[in-house]
Amino acid sequence: MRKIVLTAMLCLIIFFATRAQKPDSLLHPASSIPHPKSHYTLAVGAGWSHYFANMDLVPARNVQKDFIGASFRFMWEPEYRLSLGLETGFYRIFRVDSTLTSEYQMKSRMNVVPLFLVIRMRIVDNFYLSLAPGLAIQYTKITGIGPDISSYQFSFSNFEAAASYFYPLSKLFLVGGEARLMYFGKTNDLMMSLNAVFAIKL
Amino acid sequence: MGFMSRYLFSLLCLGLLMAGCNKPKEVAVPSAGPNSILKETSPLSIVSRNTMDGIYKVTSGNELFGDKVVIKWSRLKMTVMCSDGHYFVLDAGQLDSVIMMQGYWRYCYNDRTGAVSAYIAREEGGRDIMKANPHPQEIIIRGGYGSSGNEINNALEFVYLRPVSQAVLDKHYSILAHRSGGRTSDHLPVSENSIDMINFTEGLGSTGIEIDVQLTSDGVPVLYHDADLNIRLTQKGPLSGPIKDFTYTQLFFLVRLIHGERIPRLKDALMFVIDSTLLTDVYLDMKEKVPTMSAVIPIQQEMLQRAKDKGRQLNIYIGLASQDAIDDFMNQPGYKDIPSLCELSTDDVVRVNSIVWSPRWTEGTQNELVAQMHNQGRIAWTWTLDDADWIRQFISDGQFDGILTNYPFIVGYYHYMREN
Repeated sequence: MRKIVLTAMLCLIIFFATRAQKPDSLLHPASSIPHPKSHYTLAVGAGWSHYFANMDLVPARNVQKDFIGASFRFMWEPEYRLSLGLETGFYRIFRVDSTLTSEYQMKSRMNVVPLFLVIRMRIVDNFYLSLAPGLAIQYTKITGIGPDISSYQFSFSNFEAAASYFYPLSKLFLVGGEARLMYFGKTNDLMMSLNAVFAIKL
Repeated sequence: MGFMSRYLFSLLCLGLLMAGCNKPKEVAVPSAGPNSILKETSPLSIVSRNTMDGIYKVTSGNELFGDKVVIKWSRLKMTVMCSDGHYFVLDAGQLDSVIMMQGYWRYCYNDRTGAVSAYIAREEGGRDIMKANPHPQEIIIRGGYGSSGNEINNALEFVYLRPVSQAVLDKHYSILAHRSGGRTSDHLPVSENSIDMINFTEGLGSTGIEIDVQLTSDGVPVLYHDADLNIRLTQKGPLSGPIKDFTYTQLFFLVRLIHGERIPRLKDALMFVIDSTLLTDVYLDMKEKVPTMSAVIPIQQEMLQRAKDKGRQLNIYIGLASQDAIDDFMNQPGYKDIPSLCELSTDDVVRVNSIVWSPRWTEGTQNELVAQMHNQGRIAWTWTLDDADWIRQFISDGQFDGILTNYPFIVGYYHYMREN
């Protein structure tokens, strides 16, 4: 049921957003700046990520929440406000160090590789907001309690909300920053990241 | 749609998305708390409890609980079973031949619940119950129930009509509760597939349980339903992923079920069934596709012997729900003598010599096939039947020897209401 509601809401967002769009050529008829009809953009980002720990079983002091993460995004940007793309990345969600008994000093960590379908809207020049549903693979590694175990699972109900600013260095290159909030439904994990981003127009 | 409206709409959608991802709320169990009158009472004997069992007319409270209810004591609790999915779980004791009862009622299809407090006066059945009179002249249960929290603000009155028919009591009819006694998704106060649930389920009217069995990475059979550790069934912790990837020690230290219990080993769960309950049937539902029989059958055999040594009448059946499971089962020495339950065709039942044939309920009552099984000395259960109307129909028109359900109190109501 939740999947149906989510899908319906995304369709509504796309429908209303695209209905209201006008090509830049109509918005700026007298502009001397040539606007290509559409282009593709590849963006690479890296920065700080923070996990909003919500563990019932582990004291918060045992949970390390701040890490370095990376993101990769490919966008199709038509001459409308709305653009679409795919985003992936690599983030460590948490690391837990916990002494369970004198025999067991457990370390556990979870990494995630998401794949989001990004729906992005230009709000004003160079500033964007985006929503992205998607999939994720979550990797868990545990050591210090019996044999070392590496495990993975798929998470199908995830989303990301992001705000981005891009400053054009030239016709081809842009730099900027992004703040994003990511939710992974399988494990009920919420995290944010602040990334520096470098983008190239293809 | 204006510019601002579009953004407000987007924000609303985002808010709905986030709200939709929240965990469902828990249903608090109403409790009389530390001031319960039951602290002043002494426990009822088993024969006194049996005297209370029977069919009662609802003279106050029938707008919610229907015209008739069944009252049936289990090992620890008094269960009031209604026709439509309402049920009561009550504790009781006596004080000067007055029977005091406290507990709560629930409706199984949603989260409605409320406190219950009632009594049987000395002259209105209390004395008969204390004397364990098998044919009480009169029992009137008076009291009240609440609609939320611990308040009690509605009148409740049950009047004894008749005992449960002896023919019904003599019949070995299995009321099997799903997932060791009840589902976590039904907002019960204990977690599914836990030892606490096995302890709890008799209070819902169960006489047997189905439990889900999986193997850990070091080959320990444990009770767990889903393929992976997830927030639906477990508290948030440092482990997630397929349960078969982790050792039992890791699960023991790092995983708690949703109400805080540990994932139990199959052996511990069966020992609890034998030592601490009156349950008569256990159906082991093998969740794994990988061969598990060689790890589970020795435990089944050991526990059957333990039950026999203790004089407990307990059946433990290996579940065969797929052709892979049958192939794995037939690779075990002496498999035809191992008590099993087959969910496939009656031909498969004969091939592996299963004691129980258990088709899904959507295939209908299948009275001819059930009769065929009976003629071969086998029994038949159907699964997993939760709708009150269908339960009524299967009990009135069918020949099954038991029903696997998430709502044993509904099966109990229609079973115990029968005349024969």
